[in-house]
Amino acid sequence: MTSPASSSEVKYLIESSEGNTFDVSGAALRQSNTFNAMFLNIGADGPIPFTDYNEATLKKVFEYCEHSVNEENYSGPKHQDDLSKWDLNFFNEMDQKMFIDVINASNFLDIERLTSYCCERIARMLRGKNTQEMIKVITLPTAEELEAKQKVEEKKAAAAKKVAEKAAETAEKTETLEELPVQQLVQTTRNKLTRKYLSFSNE
Amino acid sequence: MEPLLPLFRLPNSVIIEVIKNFHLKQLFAFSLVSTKTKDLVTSLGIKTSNIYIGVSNVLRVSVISGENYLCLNFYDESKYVNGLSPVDITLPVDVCFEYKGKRMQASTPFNFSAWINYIRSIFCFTLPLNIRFYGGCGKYGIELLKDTTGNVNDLFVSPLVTDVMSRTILKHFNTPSRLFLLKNPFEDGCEVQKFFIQNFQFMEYHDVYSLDDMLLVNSEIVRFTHRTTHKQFNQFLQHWIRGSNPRLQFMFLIIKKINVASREVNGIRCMEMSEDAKREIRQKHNLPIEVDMVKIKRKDGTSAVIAIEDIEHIFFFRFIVLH
Repeated sequence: MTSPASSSEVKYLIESSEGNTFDVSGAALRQSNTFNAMFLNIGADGPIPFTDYNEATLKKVFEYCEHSVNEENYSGPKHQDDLSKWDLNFFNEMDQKMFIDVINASNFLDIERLTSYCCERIARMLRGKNTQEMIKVITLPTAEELEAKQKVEEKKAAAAKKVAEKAAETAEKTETLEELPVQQLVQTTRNKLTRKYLSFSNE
Repeated sequence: MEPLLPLFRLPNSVIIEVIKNFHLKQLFAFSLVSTKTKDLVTSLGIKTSNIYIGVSNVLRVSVISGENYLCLNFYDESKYVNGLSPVDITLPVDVCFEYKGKRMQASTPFNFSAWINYIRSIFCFTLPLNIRFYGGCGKYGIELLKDTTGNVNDLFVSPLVTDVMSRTILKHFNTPSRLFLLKNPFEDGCEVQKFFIQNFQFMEYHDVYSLDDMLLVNSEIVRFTHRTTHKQFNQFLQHWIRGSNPRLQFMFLIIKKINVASREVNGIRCMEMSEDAKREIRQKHNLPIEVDMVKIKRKDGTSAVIAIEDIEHIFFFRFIVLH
């Protein structure tokens, strides 16, 4: 589904790792800086594939975004004590695994408010613990896990770099294709790039 | 049992956001979890304004970052506190600190010198350290402490430190930028003059001092907290007018109450100052509004202000050289 930039009525289709799709409002999606950077002005000509994350996680993340649509603009981290009852329930009903998945998704989607609250919540879990107690609580990664994580981060960085390079390259080419209307040309190119980027992310 | 938190399944950027919420004490404890956590804490680039080492019965390292602080204790177990035998700071030692009413202890096998390097590293502090010696410091090897700290910025020697120990401290820590000497530890009164001659940025001296001591002052800023006489101060001014103490920028001293209503200070010509000029000096030096002042001039044209603060039975004099 494609949408103009400013309409909060428009729904976008989100695709999860299971291949399932579900609707999210434009207003909720706009809380994601990743979405803003990639889709906001051009729309998407199909479901937006956030296929690194499962449906439950994505629904949880966008539940938060839908809820905070009408809240004042985010103005920096808020102390956990200042969270509303709804916010507290939202966090309390998640188990540890879901919580970690939500942070990862929120971080990827760059939803500042949610990421910041999650981080403050983790900090609170560790507050007052000495080193030995922290070692017991934090499951320290094995060497293999660390290596795998390093590879994932490198892969993501490489994918982002490729997209940037491709964008620069394509921008040069589009300058020469003057016969197409500018709007159409930009949209077509960016849609292609978006699909390319997502395919890198999914690798 | 507390649920496990797979913190390292999160991207580094998220972990960094998490630890930005930590107090310095928590950050320190977290940094000791693993090499990776140490690197993460270091990557925060904490702006540490100062690190002080307090040497008494225990060794205490205070890290100050804005309004945040961390106080780490070494050798604070009773066997050290109550023991009189020398402490070998080259051996591994535990570090302890209080956090949320709990005593936290880390048993990483570092000696004191390695701990100092570790603290400097994670709190990104590259400036010279500050050191303060109090009573009970005698069981620590001063030379080893000097090797550990290198040149220091502030050196504070409490009057409770024995004279012998004070002299040893002054011998080894001989190039601080700021010296706080609260008692003259030398039998020969003149021996302390070698410290007045040194070009410290700041010196504070709490013992009796003579006119000769004043005239030898080569620091930019000096604070004398022992009361002196009006006569001695007046003699100093006369020497200053003739060119003594060329590096001196600011001197604080205390004098018993005298009549300073006259604009003549025992033969020295004092000039009136405008209210604007006085206000400017008060603001620059954080002086209260009650502080009155007059201006004097030396033969080379340099001016100075004598600011007088009336405190019950004494006057605080501030001698401020103008540029």
